[in-house]
Amino acid sequence: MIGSIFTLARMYIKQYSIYKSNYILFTINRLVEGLVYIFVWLAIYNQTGNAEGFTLNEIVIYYVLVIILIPVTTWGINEEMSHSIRNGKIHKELLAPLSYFKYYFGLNLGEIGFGAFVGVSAGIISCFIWQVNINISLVNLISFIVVVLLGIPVTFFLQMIVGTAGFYTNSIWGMQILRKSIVYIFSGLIAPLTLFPRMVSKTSKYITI
Amino acid sequence: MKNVLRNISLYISFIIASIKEMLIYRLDCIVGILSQTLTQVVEIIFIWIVFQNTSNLAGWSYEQILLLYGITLMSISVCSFLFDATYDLGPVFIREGEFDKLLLRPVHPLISVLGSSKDFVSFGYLVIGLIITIMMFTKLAIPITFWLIIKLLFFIIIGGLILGGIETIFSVAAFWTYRSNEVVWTFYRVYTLTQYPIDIYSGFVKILITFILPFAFVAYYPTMDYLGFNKYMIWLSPIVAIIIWIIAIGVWNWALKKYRSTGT
Repeated sequence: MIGSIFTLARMYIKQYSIYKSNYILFTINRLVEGLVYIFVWLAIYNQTGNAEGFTLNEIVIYYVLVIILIPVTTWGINEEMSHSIRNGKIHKELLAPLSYFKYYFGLNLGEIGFGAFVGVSAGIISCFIWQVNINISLVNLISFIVVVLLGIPVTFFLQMIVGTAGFYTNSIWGMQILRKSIVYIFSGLIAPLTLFPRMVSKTSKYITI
Repeated sequence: MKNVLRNISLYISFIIASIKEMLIYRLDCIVGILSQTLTQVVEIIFIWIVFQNTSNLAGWSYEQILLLYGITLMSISVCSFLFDATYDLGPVFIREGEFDKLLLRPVHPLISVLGSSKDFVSFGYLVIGLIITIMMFTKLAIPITFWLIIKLLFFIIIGGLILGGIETIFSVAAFWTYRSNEVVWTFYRVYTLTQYPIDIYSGFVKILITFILPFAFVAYYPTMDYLGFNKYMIWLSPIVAIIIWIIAIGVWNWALKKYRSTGT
């Protein structure tokens, strides 16, 4: 069963890799996304020299990590699910010998696998652009990878909740945007959660994204 | 001229049909509007966080930045509503063979593609942008006169046209990559740069958003005018819009000649 899931994931990555331009464009997008935030913080540091105790290097590292993690946390299979509900492909998916749930988990893994590749590429380029000095120990690196891996089922279940709602509404485009917005706010993708209003940072402790 | 008016009238008919199509899924449409509004709340939270750490950004106060943001948002809503379909040019039209059908119609395919825009949810952007703009005009003690309303409306539409023209140019990549959505996403990413004063950026980015991709004419220079910082650059916006659309149509026609069907 696990073999089938990984085969689906590989297939999905291959599908993305057909057009090499995709990879380049995805990477550029991630770079530009981080660019705005970093420039704004640079302007703050040029004026005040401080931001809630974070050094400039720390805040830039934070956004480099955001660039790496955005595809892993926000990409997913909701668009695919929405299309299949609307164009009737779902009938074939439900008749397949692999359960609907596992089928989409496989596709989600493929999406995240490609996203991780894009994110890491954009992260490495960002390190060169912003001349980031990252001193990371092996333990920290391993913990980081473990946390990211544990996050995969969390984001997947969140997408399944949104996707299942599509059985009733036939279209989940709007709810998908809602999911992304919630992820952006509560996972600290726009700024470190400690800088948020107290209510948001407190709520984020209970929302596991 | 008669031909242009005919194309505009056809375009409006296509847009009305697309809105009707969008409204088939009413619940999702409402959730979409609310969600799009929430995405903007994310950005406003970021601006709020920024101003917890500084009193001004490149000389712009919190209220002035929010005014720039509100005006940008309204132009984005015009652009999304009228030209959003370029996002689907690659994945929906070209890859799935829909574009071949459009070529058989007695209408220019660009009109058909743009006319299928149905980003009705951008209505949320318009509302939130309008609320922010009115609030900031009041806070900044800028009198809301009849002339200001006319000017604001005119330059919001001009801003939307500039964004739409640039988006159309970006979408041309779909004729080769068969996936325009990521290219158009790049466009969306770059225009977020204009939600802040261009003085915070490095020289290259300044040149990029002023001359190469003239996003600065969408909201930055109009806002400078409303704030009384610069009264002249705003009047270049309509000229920029015309130039951008001449280039966009030219590039589109050139790319159309290179079109190869996927055979779907």
